Amino acid sequence: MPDFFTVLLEFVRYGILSFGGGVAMLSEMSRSLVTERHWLSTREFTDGFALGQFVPGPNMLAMMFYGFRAAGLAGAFAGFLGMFLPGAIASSLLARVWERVKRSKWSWAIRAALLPIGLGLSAGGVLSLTRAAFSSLNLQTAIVAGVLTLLAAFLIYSKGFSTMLVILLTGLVGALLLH
Amino acid sequence: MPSTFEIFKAFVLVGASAFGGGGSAHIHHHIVTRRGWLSESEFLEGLSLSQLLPGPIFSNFAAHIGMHLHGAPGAIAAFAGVCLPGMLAILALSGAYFAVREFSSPAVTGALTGVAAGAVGISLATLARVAPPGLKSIGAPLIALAAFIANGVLHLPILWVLLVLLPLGIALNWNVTPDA
Repeated sequence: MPDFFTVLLEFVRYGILSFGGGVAMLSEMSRSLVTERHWLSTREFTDGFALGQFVPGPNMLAMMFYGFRAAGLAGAFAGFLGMFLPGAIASSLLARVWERVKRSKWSWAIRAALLPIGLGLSAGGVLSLTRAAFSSLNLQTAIVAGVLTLLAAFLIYSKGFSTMLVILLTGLVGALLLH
Repeated sequence: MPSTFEIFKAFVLVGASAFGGGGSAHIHHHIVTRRGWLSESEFLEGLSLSQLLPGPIFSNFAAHIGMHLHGAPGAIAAFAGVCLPGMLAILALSGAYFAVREFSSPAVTGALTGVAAGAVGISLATLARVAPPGLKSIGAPLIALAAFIANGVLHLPILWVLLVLLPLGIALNWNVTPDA
């Protein structure tokens, strides 16, 4: 079992590199945590992300689930601190100096460059999540789950449903149909 | 100016009520509409800055606002407040998950599969929402596509992706004068 600092270092890496928000790191996480380090199974990776949608606050609190699986309670806090602290510190510092740098040419150029990169990385994260969620299913359950995925996206994007409600609905349908 | 404790209380409320993402809407309701601690333009600028930096946007934004309102103690209060309720909840859920799994039934497995499928749908919807504003700068569609392929398909280390695409994007947008 890895110790606190090993888990912390791994998640600090995510915390520093996750431009575009936490979802941008999902692809890297599944590669590193599941394939390379074997701290999690593919199933735990997707289940943990799903559980993170259930709790209030930032949905990347799923990191605490991953840390918990890797190294117990200490690991949960290591996962949290590593993922959340670098961005929070950087945001606080930037809030201080922003009034001075915001009119500069390079700050506009950096913003223009970072937004599409974050978007592309997030799309990669969604692809990894999809792959992980569907990889262990047989054809029949994969089709039902695929319909659930599209339905969930539609209800949230077009109908303005709360994600909490959608997660409860998909869980209920899954309990009835997906086994 | 609100005290550190008032900031903490307000953000605990935000953290406890913001279920399922969309954190900025909850921050807007509690901090801008109800308490008037930020103006609309301060809110929007803070949000775009928080999206620019690495890390979860919701907690970045909270830390940014806390700093703006009350310096470093305010930043700590807002960050801790917004995370605390969810931290306790995910710890409880994690414990329950590994306990229940010992005697898992087909219904529990099915529910988790359904929830995982729903979570993919949520992230798709979020992606569709953030895509239009993210694709406006010069070369943005190509840069986004390159980042997607490098990260999601080829699984290249994310640091390399940033080291190549960031200078490229900066160079392409160097002479753009913002109209804002």
